Amino acid sequence: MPAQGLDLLPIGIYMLRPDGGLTWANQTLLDTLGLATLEAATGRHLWDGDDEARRSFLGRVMEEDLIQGHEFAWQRPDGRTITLRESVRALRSPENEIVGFEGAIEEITEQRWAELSMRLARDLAVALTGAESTAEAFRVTLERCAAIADLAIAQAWVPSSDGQRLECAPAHYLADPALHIFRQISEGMTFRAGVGLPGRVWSTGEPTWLLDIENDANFPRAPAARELGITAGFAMPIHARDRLVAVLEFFVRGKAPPDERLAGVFHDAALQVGAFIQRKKAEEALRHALSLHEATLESTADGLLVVDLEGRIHSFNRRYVEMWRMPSTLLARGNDQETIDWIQEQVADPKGFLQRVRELREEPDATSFDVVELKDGRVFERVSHPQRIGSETTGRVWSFRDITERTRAVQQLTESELRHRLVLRSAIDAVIGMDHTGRVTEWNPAAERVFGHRRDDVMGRTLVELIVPERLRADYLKGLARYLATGEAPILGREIEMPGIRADGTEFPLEIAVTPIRTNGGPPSFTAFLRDISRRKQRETEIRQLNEELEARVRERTAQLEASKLELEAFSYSASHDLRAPLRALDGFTKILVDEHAANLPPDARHLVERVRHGTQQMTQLINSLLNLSRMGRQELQPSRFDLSEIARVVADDLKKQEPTRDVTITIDPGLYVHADPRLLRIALENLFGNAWKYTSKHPSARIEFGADMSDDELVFHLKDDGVGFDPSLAHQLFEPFRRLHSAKEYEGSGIGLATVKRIIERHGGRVWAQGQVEAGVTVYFTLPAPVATT
Amino acid sequence: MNTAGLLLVEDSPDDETLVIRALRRANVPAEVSVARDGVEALDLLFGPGALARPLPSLILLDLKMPRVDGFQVLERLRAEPRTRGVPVVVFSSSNEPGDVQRSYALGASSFVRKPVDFDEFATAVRLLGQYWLTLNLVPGLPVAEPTAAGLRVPPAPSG
Repeated sequence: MPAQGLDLLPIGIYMLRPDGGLTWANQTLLDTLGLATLEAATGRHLWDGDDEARRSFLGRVMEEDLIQGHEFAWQRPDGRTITLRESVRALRSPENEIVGFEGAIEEITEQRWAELSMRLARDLAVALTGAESTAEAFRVTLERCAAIADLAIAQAWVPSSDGQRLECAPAHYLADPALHIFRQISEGMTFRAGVGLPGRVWSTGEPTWLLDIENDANFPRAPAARELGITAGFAMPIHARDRLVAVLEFFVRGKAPPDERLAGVFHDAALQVGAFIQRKKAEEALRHALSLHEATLESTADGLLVVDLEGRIHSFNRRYVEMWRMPSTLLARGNDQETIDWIQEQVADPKGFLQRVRELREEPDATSFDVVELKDGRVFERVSHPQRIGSETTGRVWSFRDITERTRAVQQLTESELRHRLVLRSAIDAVIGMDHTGRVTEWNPAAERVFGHRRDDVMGRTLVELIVPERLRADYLKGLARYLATGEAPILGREIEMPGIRADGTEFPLEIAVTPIRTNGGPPSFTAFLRDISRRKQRETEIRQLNEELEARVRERTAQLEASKLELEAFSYSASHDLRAPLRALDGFTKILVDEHAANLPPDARHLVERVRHGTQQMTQLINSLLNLSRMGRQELQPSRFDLSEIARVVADDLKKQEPTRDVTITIDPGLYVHADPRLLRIALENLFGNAWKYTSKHPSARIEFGADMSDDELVFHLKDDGVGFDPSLAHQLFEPFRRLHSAKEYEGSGIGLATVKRIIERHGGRVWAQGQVEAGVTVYFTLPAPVATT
Repeated sequence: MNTAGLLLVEDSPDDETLVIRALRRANVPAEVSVARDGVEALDLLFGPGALARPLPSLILLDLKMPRVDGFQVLERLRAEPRTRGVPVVVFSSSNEPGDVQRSYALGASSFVRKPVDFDEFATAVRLLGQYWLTLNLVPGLPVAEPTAAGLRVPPAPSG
């Protein structure tokens, strides 16, 4: 029998029958188990659960003789569930038969909760570290909590965007798919403060147990819970920086209500999550601030550099690097002095630049502004501001702005203004500027010269009173008014002529061009360019007079020509009559003299008389040729279509008949039809063939060819002989009347045959030309543009 | 034997001589009267005593003459019924187409250009005389019997 002293031990000791029933326990164990007396405890089984499990455990003890550290839960009569740890040993008889069991037991409930809490804290710490968002933090927390306490459902409620109610957050945990019905119902619900489990937690800010779901009046989801065997619930708030960010709720199925200590464990978790969310929010705010900071830095056109008080580079933007063309390695080292050295190399005044940097280091709170010129011609504006956190100066911000273009533009504007003035001053034209009311704002020296008004006298007066004659002023003012009203002005941008008046009142012709100048939508101003065109007008008049005189002279000359032509015709007529008459007499009387007085005349006299007759005949021929030539120009063309080859053949036959003894081969291309005046063409061919015949007469035999060939789309006729030819350098004289390339002694002729040919061809619109060499014959070419066809 | 009358209207004494010489050479039997310009010709034909004179069988008419030219004479001749049928041969230095055209338009019987070459001239005159004075019939005159001389074939022009 165990001694009374065993009751004083801090651990419980017991003995069991072989079937597990309690036979003895010390007082310590009885107190732990909540059993009043040994008698009440005798026969009780220590371990909960079914008989099967218990037998199986006893079996293990029998097998192993000793099991240490066996843990199990015990529900005390007062309802508390405690956790116990024991060591159990099998007791055997000398025959090795199980006679019972003995064991030592201690309560480890507090230890278990502490472990649980620690494990949860550790798990959460790990899980939350990896969590990217608040939503994930909720999910992780719900899962871990549910797992640790073997809960059925865990979900989170978060304030709606208007802050008026709680909505079911996406994060949740379900121990069993069958529970999703409860989840669905929850998702469809929202809770105002004080309503339902989440609403109650929201309004009180305290963790809340719901131990009797069945009978709770303020639990709208009770029917569903009942259906699913949910017996109890627990909800707790999560605060971040004193503001509720979520309510987590947990539900238990079927078992006895959970230990209240669970609330404590979860409360720690809630604090942990709250801290996490708070940190997360702070991080987000910081990230936002940083990105804003960076975006601001990079979106400015200025180059920015932030340096701390120790001269370390804190930050800079890309523009700063570009502006100073700085190597990235330099900035990466973060030493402000190195960047200053780099910059000094580039600025036009390194000492001045450095001086300013030093001054500002001495005075961390000073602000500065100046302009820095670079060696490459660029110009930067430099602004420096202290950087402060609260009232404490922590560094300095340098800002550089490239104002090269602006500076240049200003310079150019100045230059352009200067040039403009010079142009105005030296312009030959009068240049007058006006505002929109027509008042003079500019009056250059040429204007002084042209109008006789001095610049100082006219400024501010209206142009119309200065230069427009009285009678035209109304029109001028009307035009100006219309332009200002409608923007329409027929005279603007064009040169027009108008009368102007000088200071002395004299009027003179003026050329004027007015250009409107609009700037920035204001009323237009005008620039007028004016020129005194008196002299030009005078010259124009002179030219007109000269033209008129010239025309009169042309008319006179034409009349004279007409008269000459008539005279020429009269001459031709009289030549045909009067010149022939004496020749006829000469010829007739000499002939009669010879015929009737031959017997009385010595032979020499007869010879002389023959010479007279010969001369007469030559003169007759000459006169006839001349008449023909003049008639060529006077006669009207009577064109028809005929065979020129046929005419050529007739002409050639005539020649052969006249001198049948000559050996001349004449070939004529047949069927050369032309549209021309046949009488004139016959005369032309007579002359051409006649020439060919004549100029081949010194050769024992000769060839004459007449034909035509296409050349450049026109038919070119040719008459070719192999006679004496001519000196090609004299070819241009060939077609002139009375121009002879051979002496009359060698070849008789009037010298106007080819001139006649030329006139005939040209009257038909054709061309005639010749090629030849001395002793190599002549080819005369001609064209007849009238329709020509060969058959 | 009746001799036909020839009126030569010619202002040039040279041509007059040459015509008469040529007629004589050709043995054309003709009674030649000469008017030395248009005025004389018209006077002869229409002037006092003209009705008493027989009309010529041929008038050889020059065109270019002082005072009244050949065209005017021709016009007058053709205007008068009495002289309308008288053969008028224009015998001129001109061969201007205009002159030829105008002559026929005014009723010339023929137009012959005076050749410069005397042989040709003589031939022309002979042929004219033979035709107009011997072969050609005119109203108011008995039919002339061709004479041997009149029908003689003219000698070929020399040269």
